Amino acid sequence: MRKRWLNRSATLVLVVAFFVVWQYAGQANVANKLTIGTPAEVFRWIGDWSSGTYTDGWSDLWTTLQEALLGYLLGTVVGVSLAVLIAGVDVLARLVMPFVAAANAVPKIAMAPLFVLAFGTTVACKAYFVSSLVVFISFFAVFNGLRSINRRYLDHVQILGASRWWTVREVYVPAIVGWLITSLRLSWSWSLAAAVFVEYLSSNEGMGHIVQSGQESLDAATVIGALMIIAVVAVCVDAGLVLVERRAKEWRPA
Amino acid sequence: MSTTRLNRVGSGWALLLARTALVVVVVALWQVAADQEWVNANFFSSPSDVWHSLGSLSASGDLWRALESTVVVLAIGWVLGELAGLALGIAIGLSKRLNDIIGPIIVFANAVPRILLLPIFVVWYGFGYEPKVLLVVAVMVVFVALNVAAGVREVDGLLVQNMRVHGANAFDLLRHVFFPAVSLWVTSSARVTVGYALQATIGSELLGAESGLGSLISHGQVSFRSDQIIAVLLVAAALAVSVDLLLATLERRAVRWMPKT
Amino acid sequence: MTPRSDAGNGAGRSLELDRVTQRYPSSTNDTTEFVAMQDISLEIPAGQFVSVVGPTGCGKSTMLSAISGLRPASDGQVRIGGEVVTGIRSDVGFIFQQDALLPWRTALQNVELSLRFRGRPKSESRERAREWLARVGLLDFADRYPHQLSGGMRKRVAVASTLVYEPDILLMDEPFSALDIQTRTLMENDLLHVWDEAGKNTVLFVTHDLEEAIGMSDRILVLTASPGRLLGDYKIDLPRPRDLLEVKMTEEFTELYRAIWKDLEGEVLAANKLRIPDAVGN
Repeated sequence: MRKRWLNRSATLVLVVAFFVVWQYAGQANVANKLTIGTPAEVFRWIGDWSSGTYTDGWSDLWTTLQEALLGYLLGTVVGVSLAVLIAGVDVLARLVMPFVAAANAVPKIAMAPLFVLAFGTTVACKAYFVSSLVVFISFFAVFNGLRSINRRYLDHVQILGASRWWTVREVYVPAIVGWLITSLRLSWSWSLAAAVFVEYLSSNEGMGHIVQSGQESLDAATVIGALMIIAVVAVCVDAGLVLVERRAKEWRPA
Repeated sequence: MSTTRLNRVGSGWALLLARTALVVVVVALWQVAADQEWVNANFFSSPSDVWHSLGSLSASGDLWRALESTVVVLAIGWVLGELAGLALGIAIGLSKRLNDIIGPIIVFANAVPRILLLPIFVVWYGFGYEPKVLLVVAVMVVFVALNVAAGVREVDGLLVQNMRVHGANAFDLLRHVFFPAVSLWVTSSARVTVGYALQATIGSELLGAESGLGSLISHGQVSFRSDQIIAVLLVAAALAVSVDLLLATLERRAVRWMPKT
Repeated sequence: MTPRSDAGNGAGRSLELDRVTQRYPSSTNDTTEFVAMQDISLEIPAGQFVSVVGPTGCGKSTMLSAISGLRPASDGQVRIGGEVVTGIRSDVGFIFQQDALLPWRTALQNVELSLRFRGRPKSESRERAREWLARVGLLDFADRYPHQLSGGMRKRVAVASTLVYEPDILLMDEPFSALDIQTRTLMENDLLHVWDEAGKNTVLFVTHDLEEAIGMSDRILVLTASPGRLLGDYKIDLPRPRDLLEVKMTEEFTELYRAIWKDLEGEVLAANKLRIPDAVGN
């Protein structure tokens, strides 16, 4: 027990030391102040931001979250539908899978400029970009899940008298849901990153935009502050998803 | 959803033919759709434009220079990322204390989308090689570290005990048990890690870098040339697929001794 | 699937195999085929407990798949109560060798599945499921997931989930082979007890354990090594009800064992590609 507390406090000490070193390094000279800023400045910026002194405050965060969420939902729906369709028709699967793999090979982040060029910079357009990433994640998760259903469960359920409808309900749906929940964390983290990224590329609102204008004016505090806020949001939602995942995986052997 | 029937449908040549036909049909449809202006020209462009764009990029040498730059950054970044991740991973895998102390920090870092670090790197280093390589390392290191640590911890205790009984010391164990286990993981995860590294490389090149495939795409955006963007995207996809194939072949050679789990 | 007949009162129906053959395409190339069963013909009257023994790969499991309708036979006919088997039937129960309980459902939910499939209302299904769980002694574990139960417990849940809809024919594919020997003996006794209580439906029990077979059945069929053919058909006259621990000690048991083993031994050696040892000197 004592050991755990010792280790926990060591972690804390490490984190605090990091901030202290940062503060000193930032104050060392003017050049440093510009590039790495200081914790003090960053926290002051965050305070200003949340009270809405310089920017629109929370509305930017909300914009980013909207894009991430909408993109996530759209991408998941499309991905799951495609997976069910392709996994369900053997011929289709054999024909199409290499192309899907090739499409997956395109570094999807690099498609951002294309989306910006073609669709502009509204919230909806950025959501489309986000969904283009999520589609692949949810597609593969569900596709692999459907393919890996153990034949034995299907046999068992059929012997017990299940009709096609019951088989779908009792075997396929739990499998799909299981795999989907597992991919939730990955999808979510990419959704948020993609939303910020495309805003950074070209936008006049959202957290990514704040980061970009901060970078242009060489204001390290803004850049780091905004990114910290995103990071905190990401971690919080991730923690929530971990709980959801744990609850949904109750039936899995440890 | 019978998997046994899968083996019967369309084997060998028939499948190849069908797939080729599919590609031809899609490209033809694409061209028609572009000509008839059924679709947003800014997004889809047309096969002929994309082809010309590819041609001119290739002829001017821009494409090859960009490709070279991307591959170099990818290689350097990947190697450094693996080394950093291995070092960190082995350390926390072997030392429970280190794991407990640094663990929470790493888990926290894992939840943060690492691509967000890019603007910071750009602020620090400008637009040269450094921020790109750093981003690749940042994206890889946590993934590698966590997995290597898990792998180290999972090394069959029985194997270790057996070697100990045969008189192995710490160095022997490292060399004969941990090193093979770790290199096995590195080779079997190469496709995934290189995938991440490639995404990070091109992603970082998108933001105003001076060289690399991503910067070509960025130029395309700025000059409203979606044909150029698509052309480079295709090249990037080709790069990703060929690297993946190469790794797959190497991996198959390397793991011949493993039982099929 | 044949129309559902809930007429199953558990008293069982007769089972006939008429020159049944099962072929599989070889996994290595499409031209050669692997013959799992060849020309099997037999008649089993209603309510008989029959064991099928044979070496590995003799087609025992294949026979069960063919009868159940999961993998219909390549040639020949299977008839249940005179009706030809054309697909999966609702009056057949099947207990697999490996775990087939749905891992994402609790024990209780697994048992009530078959009743829900047959359209029984939820409350009634739940009631019957609880009854059967109680019968196999697992009522206290109704809300556990399969991974929280021991191997023996999972088997008991599987038995309950199959018997709850009172199938006329019960097929069992080496159900206890994955259990340790002590648990196995207990399960064998339990099964006989439950079978008796449920009204003795027709049972086809596949096993490679000859002791288990003799102890449990009214009749034993011996199959040859692949391609499986019927080699022997033995009547087991031991009195019921039986206790598996006691019955093994009797003389009749030992005699039966010796007789049947003679047939079986040759097939087991053939399956393992060994020769029957000659007299000393070879």
